[in-house]
Formats: sequence, structure tokens, C-alpha cells
Amino acid sequence: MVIMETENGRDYMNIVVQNLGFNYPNGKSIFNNLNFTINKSKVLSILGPNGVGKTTLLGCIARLYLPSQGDVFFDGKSYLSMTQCEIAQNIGYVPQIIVPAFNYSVIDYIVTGCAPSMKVFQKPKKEEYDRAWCAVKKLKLEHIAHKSIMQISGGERQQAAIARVITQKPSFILLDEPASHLDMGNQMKLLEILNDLAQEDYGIVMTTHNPDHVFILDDQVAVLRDEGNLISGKSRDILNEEFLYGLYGSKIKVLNIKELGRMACIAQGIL
Amino acid sequence: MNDLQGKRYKNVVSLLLGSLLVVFLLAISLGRYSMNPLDVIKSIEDTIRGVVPRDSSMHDVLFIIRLPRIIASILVGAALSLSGAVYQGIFKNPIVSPDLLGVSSGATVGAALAILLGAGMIMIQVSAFIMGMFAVLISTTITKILRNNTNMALVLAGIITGGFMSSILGLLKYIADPETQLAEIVFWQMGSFASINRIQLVAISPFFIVCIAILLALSWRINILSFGEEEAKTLGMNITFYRAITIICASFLTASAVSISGTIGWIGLVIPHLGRLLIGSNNSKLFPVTLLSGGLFMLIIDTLARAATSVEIPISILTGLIGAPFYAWLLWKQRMAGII
Repeated sequence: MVIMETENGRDYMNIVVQNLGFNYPNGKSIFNNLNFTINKSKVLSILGPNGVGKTTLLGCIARLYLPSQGDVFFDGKSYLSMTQCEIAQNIGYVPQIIVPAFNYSVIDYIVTGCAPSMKVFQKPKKEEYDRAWCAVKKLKLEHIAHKSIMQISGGERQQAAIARVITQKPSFILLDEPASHLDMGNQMKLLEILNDLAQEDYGIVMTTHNPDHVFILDDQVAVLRDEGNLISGKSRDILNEEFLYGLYGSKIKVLNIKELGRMACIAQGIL
Repeated sequence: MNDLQGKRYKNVVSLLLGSLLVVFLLAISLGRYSMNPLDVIKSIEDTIRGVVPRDSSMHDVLFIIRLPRIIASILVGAALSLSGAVYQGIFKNPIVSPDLLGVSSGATVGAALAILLGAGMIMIQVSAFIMGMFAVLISTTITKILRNNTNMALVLAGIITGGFMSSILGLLKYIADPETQLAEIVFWQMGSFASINRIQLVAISPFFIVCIAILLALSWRINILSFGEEEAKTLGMNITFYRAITIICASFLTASAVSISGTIGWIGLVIPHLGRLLIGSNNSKLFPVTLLSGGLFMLIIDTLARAATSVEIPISILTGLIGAPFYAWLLWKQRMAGII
């Protein structure tokens, strides 16, 4: 299979998920035979009802878990042939909740993003801290950089995690339900950041429970369904009222709102 | 990097080094054979220069009894505190102590076994060390059998090993001669530096130095381990490798310490907390501060143990009496600082 594609006359990096399947230790299958491609400069949202295995799928792409069947290829190389460190140099991951056990300062937390490019006994020096400060400035987090990671809000903590993943300098950034603990304002700020990152050539993959976020981003979607299969494509081609009803078992209106100039979806309400 | 933090670190380290020097001079002068600190310095200077000592009894007390004991107490305090900080980092839990995987209970069984067999001091130490490391081996083997490589599995395996070792210890105590052997086991369990000599110190020092050096070099990586397994993995860390090497070094340190001094409670738990209050949680700075404050604390305790009253007080009694309220105070201070 040819993995390298050419776009604008240069080799184009991607992640290819091939025949991917994952079973519980007791043999019960969560999903199987998933095939899709993740490209740079795009935001891919993974939708799906509770318990369908979105986080597990993301974990397989981050190589937190080894799949039961199939494989994932980064830039044509099988994950099985790559070390954890090689993966981390190319693929960053932002966990859903960050619960630090100790009160590291935010900047000390962010600088750990340099770990994949450092030697075993090496410690961060000025060069690494400069890289961390770059990410801090990019996300405008200067005001919390010296605070304790335990004393900032959930939204700030997530931005710190995104700053860390930028410090890591990967090609792809995976986020597990990044919007789930944020208020409305922080949710929009997050989507803006993700959109900007995609424009800077990062490939973004996030799991989400909110189809409206997918409409706002207006990019790629992969939908994992109860039967353990997956449909992917452009979000506006896939997400219609009938499809969303089939997915969530609840009536959801998909509207083209002129004032916003975008598609939006909204639950019909209690019937 | 933050200059303010760097400055604070320098200040804390110099303060600790200064205090260590002062307490060292006090400790070396105090005791049943009390000496003038100035004479002590003179005597040390003479010995370094190779001059024949003028006062040979003072020279003997100084170099054969007191100096080895002082160095041993600093090393043991530093080792136990550092392994406490390392364990707390790896298990991302500020309330674990280096006994978590059963090192101390294993070492106690080793010592008790040697005492029952009528072995001498050296064999007691060797047996304690071997059994301490054996206990850690059992704990890690249990997690392998469970095919579960998580921290939780290690903690549970440690509880299983610790419980098993305590029962064996109970059995050994039960069959020990209550007049001689039982008393010796109990005394060993309370910890003491009274029987330290130069040979033991020289034999055990390389272990301390190598393990401490490795752990200091890995201090920043332990920060990442403390974020949890998933985060450490996504930062490219080979969890099994780092956890294995840090657990081996920390357990070696604890086993070496326990084998020469007996079990000493509290210090491995309390000193890392003191360190965090002084310099914060970044292990690159915390580890050196923990080493120094652990050595200082243990030297103070041991000096009290031998010089406060006319009889020698077992170390664990003092570390408990001082350590427990001190820990409560530290927790209160951390609460005030908003750390926990």
C-alpha cells in the first residue's frame, strides 16, 4: 500500500489506520476493521455515543494501547517498528483530565514537552525553557506560567497541556474530549486554537460529544458507531438529521443559520 | 528559567550546607567524651597532614567511633529521604514511603533470621540487605504474574509481600530466645548507629554513591513519571525501563541504609515533604535539597540519641516522636501554602 501522497509537490505526512480492531482482555470486541487516514493541516473530529470506544481508538493512534488486530502507520512506518520515543517525536497527546500529584509550576510542566527530543540523563536547560516559553507566548499564558499547576482553573490547565504538546513539536496532535470540562467561552477558545493549529500545518484529531463543535470546525469527521464500525469524510457531507438520529437516538435539528454563516445542530428538546 | 527560583534554590542549598557543617561540628564535639570543636578541627587537620596525634585517646574517639557514626547517620538519613522522594514521585503519591514494596519488612526478616542463627554483625547486615532486595523482587514478580504493570498492582503486591514478611517475622520472634535473641531483634527493629565501624562504612558507601548519582541524574525524568503512566508514555518514556531502574536504585539505597542502621521510620516520608515546602516539587531541585535535609535531620536525631541522656535512645523512637508532630506541622504549612 502506498502511504506517501503528494500534495503541492512535496511529500505529505499522514497517519493511516488499517484494519484496526480492539478487544477487551475477555475477548469481547469493541471495534474492528477500522480504516481511515489522518492528514496534516486538518482537524478530524471523532464522534460517537458513550462507550463506543472513542478514547480507546485515540489511545491506539497515540500508541497508548496496542490494537488486537490491524496496525497504524505513521508516514508509512508501522507503529510496531517504532519506539515510544519516535512516536512521541511525531505524535502529541493531550489527555482528558490532567491531575498532577505535585505542585509543579506551569512552566516546569510545559517544559516536559521537550522530553522526547532529550537524552536519558539530560535535564532541561535554557534552550528547552526557551522552547517552552515560545509555546507560553503563543497561547498567551504568561500570567500563569509561574503559578502552580494545581492552583489554576481547568480551562487554564488544558491550555497548559496544549502549550506542552506544542513544545513537543509533533506533526500530529491528539486530544481526548478536550471540550468536556470547559465552560462555553473556553470551549470556543479551544476550537479557535485547534483551528489555528491546523492552519499552521499540524494534523489535529479530537474526540468529542458535541456535533455542533464539528460544524463549527467544518472539517473532517470520523463517526464510530455502536456496531463497532466507522464512517469518515467531510463533516457537512455526513452529519445530517437522519444520521444524527441514528447515531444518538434523539431528534437533532441541523440548520443553516444565516446570521452565523454556518451550519449548526441543536437538540429538538423534551418531547 | 525563573531567576527568582534559581536564587531561592541556591539560598536553600547554602543554608542547608551551612547548618550541616555547624551540626557536624557540634555532633563531633558532643558526647560522653566531650571535646572542644577547635581541638577537633585541629586534630582533623593534623591527621590530614599526617602529623602524629598529640592526644591519642581523643584521636581514637574521633576517628574510630564518632566520625564513622556521624558519616553513617548523614548517609542513611540522606539515602532514606531520597528513596522516599523517589518512591513518592514514581507512585505519584505524596504519602508513600520507601517501605512500599516491602524493603524494610524484608530486611527485618533477614536480620532476625541471622540473629536466630547466631550470626555476627556483618552477617546480620548482609542477610538484611539480601532479604530486603528479595522482598522487592517478590513484589515485582507478583505484578509480572498478574500481567499488570500499573502502579496499583505494584502497591498491592507490596502490601502482600509486606504482610507475608511480617508474619514470618512474627514466627521468628515467637521461636526466638526471649532473653537474648528476641531482645536483639526488637532492638534492631528500633534502629541504631551505635555499632557502626569504619569497615562497614567503607563497604556500604559505594552503593550509596552510585545509587544517589543515578537517581540525581534521572530526577527530571521522575517528574514525568509522576504525571502518570499515560502521560509519561505520550512523552516518549519507556515506562518499564525508567521505573525498573529507579525502583532498583531506591530499593538498593533503602536496603543499604536499613542493613547498617536497622529500620528507621518516618524520615523517608517526612523529609521529602519538608523539601517540597522549601523548594517546590520539581525533582531536579527537590532531590538535592532532600538529600541535604535528610542527612541533617538524621545527624541531629542521632546526636540527640547518644548525647541527650546518659543512655542511648533507639533512633526510631526519636524519629517517631519528632517526625510525627513535624509531619502534622508540615501538612498544616502546606495547607496554608495551598499545596494540598
